[in-house]
This record gives sequence, C-alpha cells and structure tokens, in this order.
Amino acid sequence: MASINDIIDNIIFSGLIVLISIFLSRLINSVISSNKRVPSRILWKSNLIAMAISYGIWILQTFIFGLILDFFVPMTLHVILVGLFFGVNWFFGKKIIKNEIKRSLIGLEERLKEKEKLRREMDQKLKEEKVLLDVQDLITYFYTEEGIVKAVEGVTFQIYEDEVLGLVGETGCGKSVTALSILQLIRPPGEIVGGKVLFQGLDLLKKTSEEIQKFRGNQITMIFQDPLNSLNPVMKVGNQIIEVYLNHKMDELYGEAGQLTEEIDFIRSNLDLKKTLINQLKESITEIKDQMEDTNEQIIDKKSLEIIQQKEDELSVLFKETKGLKKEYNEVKAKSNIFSVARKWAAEIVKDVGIADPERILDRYPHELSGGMRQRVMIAIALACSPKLLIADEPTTALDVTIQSQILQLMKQLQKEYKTSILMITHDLGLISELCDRVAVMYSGYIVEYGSIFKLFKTPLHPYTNGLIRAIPRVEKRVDDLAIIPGMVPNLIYPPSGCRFHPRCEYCFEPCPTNNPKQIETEPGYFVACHLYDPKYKDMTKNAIENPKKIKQEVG
Amino acid sequence: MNEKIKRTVFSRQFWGKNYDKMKLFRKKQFENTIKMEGDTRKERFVRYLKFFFLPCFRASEINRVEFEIGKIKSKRTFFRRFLTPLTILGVICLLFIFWCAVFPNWASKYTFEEIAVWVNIYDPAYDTPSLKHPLGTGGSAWDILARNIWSSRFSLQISFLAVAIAFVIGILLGIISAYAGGWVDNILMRVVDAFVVFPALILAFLFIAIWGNKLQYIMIALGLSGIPAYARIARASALQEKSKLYVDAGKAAGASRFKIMFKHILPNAWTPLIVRVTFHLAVATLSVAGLSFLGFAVSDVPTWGWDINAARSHMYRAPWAMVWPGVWITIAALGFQLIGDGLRDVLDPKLKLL
Repeated sequence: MASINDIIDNIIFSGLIVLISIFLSRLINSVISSNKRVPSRILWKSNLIAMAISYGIWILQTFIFGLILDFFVPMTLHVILVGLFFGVNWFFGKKIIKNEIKRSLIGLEERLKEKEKLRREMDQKLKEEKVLLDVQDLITYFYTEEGIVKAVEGVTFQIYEDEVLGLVGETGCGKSVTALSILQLIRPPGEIVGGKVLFQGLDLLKKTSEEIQKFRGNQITMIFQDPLNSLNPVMKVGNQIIEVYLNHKMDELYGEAGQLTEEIDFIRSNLDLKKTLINQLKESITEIKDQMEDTNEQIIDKKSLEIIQQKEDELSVLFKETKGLKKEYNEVKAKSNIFSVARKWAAEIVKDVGIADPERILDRYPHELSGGMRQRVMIAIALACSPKLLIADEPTTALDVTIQSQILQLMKQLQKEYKTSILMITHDLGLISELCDRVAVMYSGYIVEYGSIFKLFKTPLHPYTNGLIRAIPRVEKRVDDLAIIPGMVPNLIYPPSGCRFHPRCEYCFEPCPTNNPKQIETEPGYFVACHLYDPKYKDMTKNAIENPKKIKQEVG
Repeated sequence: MNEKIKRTVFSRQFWGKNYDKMKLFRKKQFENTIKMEGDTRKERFVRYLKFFFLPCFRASEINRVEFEIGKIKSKRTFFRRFLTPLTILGVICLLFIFWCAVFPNWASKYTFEEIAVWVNIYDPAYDTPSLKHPLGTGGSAWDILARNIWSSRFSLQISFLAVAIAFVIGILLGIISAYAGGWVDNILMRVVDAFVVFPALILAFLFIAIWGNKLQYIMIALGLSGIPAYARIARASALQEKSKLYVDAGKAAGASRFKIMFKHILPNAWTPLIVRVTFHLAVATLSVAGLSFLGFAVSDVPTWGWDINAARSHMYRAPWAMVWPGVWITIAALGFQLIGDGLRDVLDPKLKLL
C-alpha cells in the first residue's frame, strides 16, 4: 500500500502542473483561428473532466495495486486527455461543441422570450415617458493630495429617445467626467459623491459593478477620443468586435448556431440515404455480373449489359451528388461554431460602418489601419449590440478635417438606422450645429445653458455662451484681434464663490459673487443658470447690462 | 543587379538547353504575381491597358498584394534581427542539449541501468579516455559521455518545471495585484517580498528536511524562489498598461474584470516576461547543478552537479571526470543566456540603441 503522505505529496505537486496545463490550453485556445476555437465554458469542463479521470485512475491504482507511481502519471494523463479533447474537436466533427450547443438550446427559447418581453416593456415605458437618460444633480469629486477637485457639481440633463444631445465647454470643465461617471468608469482618486443617473427609470449609480457590466456595451456604449489608443494593439480587430458579442449576446449566438446544427442533421441524413442507395446499386450490379458468368461466357447478353451501363451511370450521378453534399456539410459544420457566427455578425457590422472589405479588415491589427478606419472600427464596436445610448467623447478631435466630415456623416446615418440616442461631447460648436438637436453648455462643473439648438445659436442668453459663439473665427470677415473670453479657467480645487463665471463676466453685479445661480426656465424646455434672468433681481440687472465692465486678460 | 551579370544570367549561353524552360518559368512566375482571384483574361487585358495608358493607375488588388508582402517582410526582418552569430551559437547549444535530453537512448550506447547503478562506491574505477570511452570513465566504471547525456535529461526536467511553476504563479500574482490595487496589492506584494528573503538553497534544505530527498521538492523550492521576479515584472508592466485607454474602452464594451486582466493587459505585458523566462532557465539549470553538487539529489538519478561532486576527490587523478559535466553545464546555461539576449534585442529594439 502506498502511504497517505506520498499520495498527498503527489496530489499537491501534480496539481501545480495541472494548473500549468490549464493555463497552456487556454493560451492555445486563444491563439487558434475562430473556426476551431472552443467556448471557454467547455474548455473548463474538459479540463475538470480530464483532471477527475486522471486523478481517479491514479488514486484507484494506488489503493488496488499499491503502486507508488510517480507524480508524472496524473500529469501526463491530464495532458493527454486535454490533448485528445482538442484533437477530437479538430478532426471528428466537434461533437463536444455540438452537444454543448444542444444542451444550451434547452432553456434558450424561454430565455430569449423573457428578454424580448423585458425589452418590449422598456420600449413601452420609453414611449410613455420619452426620457431615456435622466441625470439629476450628479456630483463627482477627485480626492487628490492637493485638495478636492470639484470636477462636476450638480449636473442635470435629460436625453430623450432618438435624439442627439451636445455637451459643449472648454477643456477641463467636466464634460468627459460626466460621461465617464454615467458609465461608472471613473478611476480611483475620483468618486461619484451624489446624484442620480436614471437609465429608463433604473438608477445606475446604485448598481454593483457586475450589474453595470450588463449595461456597458449592451445598452450604453462609449466612443473615445483617440482611436489609436482605444483599440488593443495586440488583438486583431475582428476579435475585439467578436468580444462584445461574447460578452452580451451568448444566448443569441447559441440560438443561431443551434439552427445550423439542425441543418447539419438534415444534410447528414441525406448523405446516409445516398450511401445506402449506392450500396444497393453496387450489390445489384455484382449480382447481374455473377449471373452472366454463371450462365455462359460465350453468349453475350445484350439486355443485361445495357442494364449494367444504366446502373453505372446512376452510380456516377450519385457520387457527384454525395461529393457536393459533403462539401456543403463541411461548410455548414465550420459555420456552426459560435465564434464563426459571431465573426459573421462582426463582418456585417463592419460593412455597415462603411468599410469595403470586411473579411480582410477583421484579420488586421489596429496599427495596420488608418485613423479614420480605426474610428470606424470603434463605432462598429460601440454599435455591435445596437445600444440605446451612445456616448461619443470628442470622436473627431484626433482626425483631420475630411475624415471628420466622413465620420460625422456616418454617425448621422447610423443614428437614423439604429435609432440610438447620442450624447455628443465636443468643444466644437460647428460640429454641434451640424449634428445635434439640443445642446447643454457646461462651465466649470455646472450646466450653464441648456435647450434647443436653434434658440441657443440665435439668441444665447448666458454671457458665457455668448462669448463662446463670438469666439468662433469667421472666414468671411478679416479681423485683426480675435474675440476671446477674458480671464482664466477657474481652479477647480479652490473655485470662485457664487457664480463660477463671475470673475470673467462683463455683466457681473451684486448677487453674483455670493449666490449660486439656479436653473431658470425662460421658455418651456430652455434653461439658463444666470442671475440676469432671475425675476428676483429684475431691478438690479438694468445697470449691469448698460455698463459692462472691462476685464483684463491675464496670461498665465 | 548589375547589368553585365543580368545579361550573363539570362543569356542562352548560361542556360544552354534549358533556356526555353527558364523563359517559360519566368513568364509563369510573372503572371502568377499579377494574377488575382477571379480574374479572367479579358479583365487582365483591360488592366494592362489601363496600366499603360492611364497615368498613376494602380489596381487595388496590387495594393493588397503589396501589403501582404510587407507583412511577410516584417516577419523576415524579425528573424534576421534574431539570427545574429551569437544567437545562432545559442540555438546550436540548445539543440545539442535538447537532443541529449529527449533522445538519450539514441544519443548514447548505454542504457540508464548501466550508468546509474553504483557497483562499489569505495572502489571507483576511473579510466583515461580511449576509443571505447571517448571521454573516459568515472565512478563505477561508467562511460562519462553517456552519463552526461542521461543526466542532461533530468537537469532540464527539473529546471523547466521549476520555471513553469514560477512563471504561472508569478504572473497570476503580479497581474491580479496590479489590477486590484489598494490593500490587495499591498498584501500580495508583501507575500512576494517574503519569498525574496528565502534563497532557493535554503528553501530546498527546508523541504528536503521535512519531506525527504525527492526531485519534486527541489523543483518546488526552485519554483517558489523564482516567483518574485515574475510577479514584480508582471506587476510593473501591467501597471503601465492599466493606465492606457484601451482598458477603459474594454470596460465600456462590457468586459469583465478577468477578461480585462488576462485578455487585454496580459498579452500587452508579455515581452519582458518571455525574455525573463530564458534567463531564468539558465539560472535554474545552474542552481540545479549547485544543489546536486551539495548533495541534494536522489542517488538513483544522474545529474551533472552530483558527478562533479563525486569526482572532486579524485581531481588530480582523473580530471576528465570532473571537467566534462562542467562543460555540459556551461553549454546549457550559455545556450539559454544567448537566446535570451537575442530575444531581448528583437523584442525590445530600443534597448539595443541605448
């Protein structure tokens, strides 16, 4: 008998090696082409089964025969079994995957129905309320060593169904931080202190990190500024798109693969039928030949010769048909993997995004593509699951002008096609006028003016928006000094008291340095946060408007 | 190519009877390079016309072909950069050692039983090199060449598994601690620091003292002592990658924590780890030899270090018995080291310019 100490030693050590082999098998699986890749759930199962079998055999033999075989035995058994699994998957019709697909099809229809039900309910809710995203008093601080950076302080806005909202402001006014805090992607020194982010009535800020994963990429997605750095440099573009489907659309993938398995079974049965037919024909031909030999060799029976020829012609036709069927069978079999289904979907979406040759692009690395192509791929990744809301964080700043316009046109077109609402973040007012339905102007963590785009561009109410619009250089006029907003962007750690814009404001008057302005609804759906339009201070505003101050430009 | 050489190479005199064949072959080659998928003769003709008469005309297919060629070229440059004389020497060393380790039955005339068994420890039979025993005999009258070949198998086994253990566990620890940050990072890295304190030798002493003289404990000791280097390298490069934008983009696409760690960050952090593996293999073979020199080896299993130790007392009488195992050790360590150098130069070309 083997001593228990020996057994425990060997189990511990070979466990380490099994860990290594699991690691290696997963690595190999990630490297091979998508046709032959195995879903990770099945890979785990195969590893566990191989481990159980190898350990089982090894422990049984120690107790029955008392052999103290080396630790190499379970290890080699495990490696051989996992290798066999790969081999079976490679050569013999992927039976394991097929079974897995069939197993996952059992509750699939109910699950899909439930999903659709939920989606319909949500859509109905949307139609009734028409508010897709409702951000209320969002506050985000960064706790740095120098002090608390108050990046976003009480931002409220709504995005309705199927519309484009622009978010404009200078650099460092908290546009990107609001976008990131909607998706909870703020990095550690930053923290969301308060407020609500209601997405179709659900508060996203109260969800755990695992619950919010289901929203990211599925219902709310984001396009980043720099297309070069926002794609993983060592992954092929196709795999990055496929990954989104693997994250969110597992059930649907299995559903489509399952339909293909039925097709495979159909072709298989056809093939079997034809094989039996061929066998019957062959038998009958041999029978006739035998009869001819038996009767007499010298007399040539013309009738039976003709019959033989007929049957041989039929045989050749049948052979051709089986060849075609076999080809079809192999093709469908290659498609029945969920990874190849996902790849097909990825090719479709890449084509939608306006890339001409999707199959070839999917196999390229990001550094092999141009900047515009990369941004298109990013848009494809964002739209892969046809999300409700797309947050575009300055999607065109890193591109040159011609490609900018191409991308903008694409976004316009896709917005109509997919019916997504877009939150467009830029510092470019021209871009906003082209794309958006409504605008929110941000200044130093507050939304200063917020309403329909025509009104805002025609009669801007807040002095800051007024300055912004004046600061756009015009082509038709020749001016020596460009219009600017005097002063500096305020320090966010020690922000100015009261209205944060008052040190730079021409029309600053008594309440401005002390009181924080509230949002005032001047027209239905149009908000301004400025004391000038507050009915409280109606008497004092006249003097301020008539005598605007001159503010010195500080150079820092 | 020079004009003269061209003329001679493609002349009838040079090729003689095979001139026509050569011409046909060249023509076919040329056609094959321009022939494209789904291309009829008519289309090709139209393309030729366009090529000759339209200025700046270029078929889009040609761009594709050029791109593919560029890709292959970049792979070729990778290999060319790798194939310096020193790395070729390293590859040859390693091929030799691997041949010894994998096929010892073919490499030597003697079986394992003939070599590994001590007949009489107190009456060693050392013999000078002869035709029958090209490197001489040692110990219990065994052939030293065969003994070295067999012992390379066990040395490599130990060092490879030790490196594999250190590699897997170190990477897991390093990347998890880098990604999690905060107190998890602190605790994991302090545990790793604790491993630094134990030298491999002393860990091996400990294990052998507790559980007995076995090969696997030497492997585990070497593996555990190798963990901190991998953990620290993995942590450093993962920290660098973690701050990049594609991690955020991956999160925004809905990837889970482990997917981001092992699918996005780890492949970007590979290069320093792979280079470290080759250097660690060299160090591990050396330390295996050192351990067995000190006597921490199983008596049935031949290893280089053990042989050196056995021949030490007969150093003046039979120097060959001590020198040749040492030569094998240097070949193995040198091979790993040189390949590591080559790999580092290829994967990190910036370092070479410094």
